[in-house]
Amino acid sequence: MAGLSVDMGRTFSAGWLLLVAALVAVPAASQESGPYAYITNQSADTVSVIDTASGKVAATVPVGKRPAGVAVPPDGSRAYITNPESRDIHVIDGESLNVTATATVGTGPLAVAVHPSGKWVYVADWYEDVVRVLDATSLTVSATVAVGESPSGLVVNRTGTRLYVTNRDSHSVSVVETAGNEVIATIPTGERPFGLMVDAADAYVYTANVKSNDVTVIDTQALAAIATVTVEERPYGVAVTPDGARVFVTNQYDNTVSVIDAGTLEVEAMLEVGDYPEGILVHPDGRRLYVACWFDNQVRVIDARTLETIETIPTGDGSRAFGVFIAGGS
Amino acid sequence: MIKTLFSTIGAAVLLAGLALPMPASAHGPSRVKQTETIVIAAPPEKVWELIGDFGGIHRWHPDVEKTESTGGNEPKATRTVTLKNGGVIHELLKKYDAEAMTYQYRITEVDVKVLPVKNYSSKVVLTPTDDGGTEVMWQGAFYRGFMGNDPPPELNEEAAQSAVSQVYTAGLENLKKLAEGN
Repeated sequence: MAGLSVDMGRTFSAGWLLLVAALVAVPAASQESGPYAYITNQSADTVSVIDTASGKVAATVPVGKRPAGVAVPPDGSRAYITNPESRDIHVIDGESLNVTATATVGTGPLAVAVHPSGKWVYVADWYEDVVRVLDATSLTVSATVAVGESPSGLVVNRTGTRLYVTNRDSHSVSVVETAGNEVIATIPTGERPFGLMVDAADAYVYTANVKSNDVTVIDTQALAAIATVTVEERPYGVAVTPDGARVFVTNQYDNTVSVIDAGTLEVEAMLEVGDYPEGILVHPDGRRLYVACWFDNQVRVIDARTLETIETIPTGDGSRAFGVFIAGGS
Repeated sequence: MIKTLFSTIGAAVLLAGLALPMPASAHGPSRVKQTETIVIAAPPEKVWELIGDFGGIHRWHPDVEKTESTGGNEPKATRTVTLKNGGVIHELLKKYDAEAMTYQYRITEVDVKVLPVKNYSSKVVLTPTDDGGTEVMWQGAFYRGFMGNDPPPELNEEAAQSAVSQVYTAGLENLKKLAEGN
């Protein structure tokens, strides 16, 4: 794949620039505590807020029923939580860690993403096959975008121009231009895509395909799938390092994380984690990988470079953390 | 007890099936888990001899009439479990570790009339106790039997968890009886 390696060069340099910019922009206060990792505990109806500076749970916040999705804007000012059973979203304030707003949204709110500007929140509705665009402050619906069947994962690129949506039961990704909230492309993937992630340079999107046990790699310029990487059983979530060099995938039935070299698209390592690993994200520092283990009620923190486990943090029952659960994470 | 449960659910599912559309394979609902443990006054080797044989669940589970299996205790082994009430469950072995005395498997096919669950996977773990006995943990992760929104009560999360809990408890209690028997 000669074309890919040329593209990767662009990915690396752009990724590092963004990383440097992000580090410069972080105020001193948020380095002392946080950023926070917001872990939805599906069976406990709570969110465990982990201070990633100390590794301690700073607060356990009661939310709606069966919380699953989570999204945090780059400034960390709040966290949006979806509760599919109570069919609403909760907003947790990033300083007080209290719930400051709630709103009912459709009949099956699951995935959630927030625009980098902090102005818009996107909520995928599992049953209605739409993505709703909410005003981030008033939580009122300003647009509804029809996508594929059972939209399950959402991610917005760093520049905020595009929203990517996995359609689990149409086996595709919808690419939405955020300026007009219009679907500009629908790209076929493997079977039953669920979680997804876009790299910091917005060059590639990776989807975890639950049924075909693989990852589809999408070239965002060509708007086409360019490769498929085989992983283990029931892949669920995807994380990418800020430099775009490594991709991590949770395998629910295998209790492992597949580590993929983004340059060669080979699985370079397998990591044993807790049972039913689900939500996964690389900390904006690029060093730490967070993995929510649903059955074991814990978050594993792994060194994204050495691949050694750093610590295991007990959370609540049924930790899922589906989405960008740390500000600036990827 | 389990027999009664199975037949009650059967009737309810039949009625519900007529009235409500059943989406093909969506799983919008939340996955739930169930864990049951029992402490057995017998060494782990003795308990493992019974429960560690993937194709031999009929030897210790009181609800099971017979097992047909292929592949022994190797990953990808299969077993078809026929219950005493006539229900049939098809299962696949995912991981097997005789040294650690643990294995994982999942249901590949079951009617919700037999067990009101979807996407069921399970794990058995034996742990030696300090006094030479064995703790057996049997855990499962699964969705409720009805995958659409607003399930009938017979096919909601509580029904799924209750049914699985009864299967586990009945099996573990009989396992204890057998292992401690002589």
